[in-house]
Amino acid sequence: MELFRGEVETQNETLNRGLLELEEGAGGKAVETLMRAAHSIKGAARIVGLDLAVSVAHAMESVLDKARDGKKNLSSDQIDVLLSGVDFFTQLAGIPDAELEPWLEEKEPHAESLIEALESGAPLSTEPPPAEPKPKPKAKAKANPKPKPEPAPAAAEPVEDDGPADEPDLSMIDLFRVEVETQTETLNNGLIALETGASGEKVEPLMRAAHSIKGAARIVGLHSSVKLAHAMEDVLERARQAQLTLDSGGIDILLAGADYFTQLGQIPDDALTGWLQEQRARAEHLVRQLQSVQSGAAPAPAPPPEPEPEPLPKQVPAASRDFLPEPPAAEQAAFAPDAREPAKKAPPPEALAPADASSRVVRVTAENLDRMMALGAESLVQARQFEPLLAELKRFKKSQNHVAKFVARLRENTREDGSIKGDDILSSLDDMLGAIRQQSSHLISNFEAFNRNSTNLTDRLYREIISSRMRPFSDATGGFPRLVRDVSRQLGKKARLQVLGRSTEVDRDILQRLEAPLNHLIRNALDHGLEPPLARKQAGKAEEGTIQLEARHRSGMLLVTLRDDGRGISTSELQKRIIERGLVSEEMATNLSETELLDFLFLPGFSTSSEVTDISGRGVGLDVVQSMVHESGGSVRVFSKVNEGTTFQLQLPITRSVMRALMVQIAGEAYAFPLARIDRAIHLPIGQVKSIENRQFFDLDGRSIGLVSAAQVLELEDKSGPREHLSVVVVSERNHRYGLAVEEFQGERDFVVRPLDDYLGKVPDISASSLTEDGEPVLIIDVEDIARSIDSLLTGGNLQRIRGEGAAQRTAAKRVLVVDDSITVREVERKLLENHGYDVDVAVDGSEGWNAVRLGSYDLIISDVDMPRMNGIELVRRIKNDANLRDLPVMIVSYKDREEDRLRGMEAGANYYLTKSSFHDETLIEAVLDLIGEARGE
Amino acid sequence: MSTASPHPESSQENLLHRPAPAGYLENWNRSLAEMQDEAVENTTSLLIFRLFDEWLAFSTQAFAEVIETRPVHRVPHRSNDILHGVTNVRGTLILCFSLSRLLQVEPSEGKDRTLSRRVYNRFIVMKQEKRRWVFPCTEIFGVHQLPDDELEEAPVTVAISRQPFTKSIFRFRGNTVGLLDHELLYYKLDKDVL
Repeated sequence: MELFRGEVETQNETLNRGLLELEEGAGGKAVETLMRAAHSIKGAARIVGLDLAVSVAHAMESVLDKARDGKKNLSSDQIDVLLSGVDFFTQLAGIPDAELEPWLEEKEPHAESLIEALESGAPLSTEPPPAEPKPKPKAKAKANPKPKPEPAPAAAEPVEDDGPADEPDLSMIDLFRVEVETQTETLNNGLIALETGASGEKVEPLMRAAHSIKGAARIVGLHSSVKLAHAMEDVLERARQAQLTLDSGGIDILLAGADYFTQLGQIPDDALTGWLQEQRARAEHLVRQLQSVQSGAAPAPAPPPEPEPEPLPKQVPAASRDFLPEPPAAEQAAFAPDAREPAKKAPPPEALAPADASSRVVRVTAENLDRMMALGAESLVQARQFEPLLAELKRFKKSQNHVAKFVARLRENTREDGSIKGDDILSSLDDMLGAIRQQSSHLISNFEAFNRNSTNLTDRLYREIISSRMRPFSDATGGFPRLVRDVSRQLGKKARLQVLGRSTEVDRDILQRLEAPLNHLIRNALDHGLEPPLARKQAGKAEEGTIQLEARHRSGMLLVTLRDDGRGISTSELQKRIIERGLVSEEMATNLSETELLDFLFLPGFSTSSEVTDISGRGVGLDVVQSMVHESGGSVRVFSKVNEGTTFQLQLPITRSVMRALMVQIAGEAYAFPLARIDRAIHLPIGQVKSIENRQFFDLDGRSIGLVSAAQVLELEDKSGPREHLSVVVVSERNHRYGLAVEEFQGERDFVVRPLDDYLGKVPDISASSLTEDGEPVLIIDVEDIARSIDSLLTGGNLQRIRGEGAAQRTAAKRVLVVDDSITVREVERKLLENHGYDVDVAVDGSEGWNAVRLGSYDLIISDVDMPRMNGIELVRRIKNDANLRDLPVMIVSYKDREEDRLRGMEAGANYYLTKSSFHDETLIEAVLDLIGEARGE
Repeated sequence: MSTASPHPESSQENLLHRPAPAGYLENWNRSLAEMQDEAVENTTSLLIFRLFDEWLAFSTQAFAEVIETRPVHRVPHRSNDILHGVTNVRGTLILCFSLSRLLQVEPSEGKDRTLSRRVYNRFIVMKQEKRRWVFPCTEIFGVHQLPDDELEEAPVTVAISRQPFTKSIFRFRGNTVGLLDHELLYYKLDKDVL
């Protein structure tokens, strides 16, 4: 049976793929492959004695055989029937041995109808051929959801749903997302290109994109998506055949369809079902719109594949692919609760598991993966070579022992006058030493080769892994042509986006972080940069503005340039605004260089545009762009010429996973400063350090720079003594420069950057972690953060002391632990008690409460009864059974106000039982006072 | 030549094919069957280790691996008495804490009660769902299958600070070993240390 399963799995994949291709109109050769697949299944079924499967496979084979000979053309309906055959096998292969018999019995009528349909060439009829619909097998199939990692059974899932409702199969949803992401990009860009004139060539890839989405949606069981994609495909197909001319209205509808998919791809798993339900009307509306585009433009000479606007027609093939014929509506409703509903509302846990964040899908090229596997295998081989090397070393040691023995013998045989008895000892010693010398040189050369090879190998493996993180720049630019189109239309401007360096390789993290800033800059360029067509004409420029986006590598950095040919930024205007805002004095403003002036654009809340528009200038200014770029370890510069345009240049590391940094020693431990973010690293004779009002500083380039000990900023105990020279790292942040004295510089290195354990939260002054060559931890300094820390240390260092006093006072209050799973109740109780001066802690359920009780010394526990994990009664019981906690008063506050509930609580050992209505009067506080007295009393 | 010497092949064969001694198979049968019985008994798998002169244990469910001691890097603004810092475990930096400080086990002048022949300071790596923790210990005995009925309730006399963390105790080779509640340990680290 296992054999059969394996066979079915392989062949079904071929069949599924092939049949879909067939639908697109593949030739006789493709059919032959399919025929062979069906034949193989037949053979395998015969071997394991599954007669029913043999007949189905046989029927499929003969249909395909006829199609191959050209005797018969396969209609969509026929392919649907064939697909249901495939699904039948998929399901069959998924049935555990023990349940096989009953399953086959139940499925027999459906298999027979399948065979009949195959033979007759008619679509599967909607009327149930075998008399009564059987809800039972369905319930059974649902009741035994097996974890199915391979795609085939997942593909079978959706067909069980014969209604138009979506029943997403979450195990495959990640793949669907990737597919949608790729294809919507194609659609978006292609559709925009269509506006400038359609041709069959241009439409074809779009049609394929829609088709791919359809296929992917079918696999994950999103029927509304299947329908929408199908409608889009139809429209595009007709456009391709020039039966339909797409105007911009039509393109808008198609774009709206693409938008639907883009959004769908971004919905997290748990929200998916809800979203689909909400958006169902929208999807259906889109389908109708598409259908009217299709029929409106050309009065349908040939019947479109899906003529009716109602979702109903889709039910036919969908139902036919199920082995359960469509039951009458009433019947459907009757068994819905037991079979369908649970599956819809609560997908089996197995299906949910892969949706976990740890299994998130990332794209890696197959080539890259292959090379990694090869290198991985090679490193295994490499490691094996240690063994012969070790054996050789052992032999070496043996020879040494041998020599030592001979030396001992030599000593014994040496006469008092120094002569030796029997000179053969000496000569054999010579021989041995010669052999040892040979052995050792052999060992060394072996080891050298080994060392060289493994260094080379690990280096390559590492590079390969790094490069697996790389994606072409075009991955981030996918949405931009669409953005430019939509925004410029909205603004009544004409603009064209030109993207250069699409294939430039960029780390996927950087790429992701690049998208938002670029999006913002493009909006900015369209809104503020480019002039309206008329103004452009008057200025002697082409009506259509150009926005050029370019990515390239330059000296180990990624350089992204966004250039517009708009009006540019007038520095005199800028000067005026700077003075107006009172940012600098008038005198200083006139002395500022152009670059310095343009830097003001990046100040928070600074905008050159006087009006706030929908497109940009919504307070999300260039400062956000700058800080986002800084976060990725890069920098932004801006150049501008009046009337010629503005250029933004973003310089970013090519990868975030490797960073060049200066390694230093602070308080005896290794830290690193990213090279891109430090100004200077200098050795400073202690004599040059000056001191005013207990603050130290030194002069550099004619400016005074405040000096702080790095250990002090990081709150580390520094045991190093005074030195003659200081090692100082100079960093700057927003026009301020600071000197950080470290213990010593240890040189520049490349660091593989890893995030610090997120358990620590954001650690002040630290951005990430890495390892030295010796495998010791290094922490990477967050320069922006540390500049801020230095600043606050210099200006107000006494903050901590004040806080310390406050904490000391609070400890006097009595401590109460509130355990409740409702946040509202917790907060109400907390406020109530805190108002009366108690020190309150909270726990979200009994289990956490039990942990808290054992660790904190509380004066009172207030607990709810019904809670997940551990209920209140159990909590009370545990407290009262614990020798150390026995005397701790416990109060139960519950919605349950019946006498038996009260008794249950008191039996467990509660000292008080209140109902939740007691919040409204003073009952709760009175009870607390009764049990433990005033917050600060005895 | 071959006729003159005894057949080495046949004598080897004889050795291998000689009948088993009486009762041999039955003996094996019985002892294998008995071993089976033992495994069926309810036991808890524990990692037993020592902090200074205190023997402790926790469930192997919470245990990932034992590694050699290595440098621990303090984390600015975060390191304290209990949380030492981070250390490199197979290329990943893992939080290192002092279990002895957390349980307030103090180094003592008295003789160590060793169990193993050789005593090494080691790091124990604990796993908590997706997170791992590491702490230094004085000695590791190893993993032990403890029959559940040997677990005793922790006496109230256990030092107050350690009391909540010690779920129960058991006797092991002349030592009293405290079984730690690792869930509570994680809770403590989560709430109070960070």
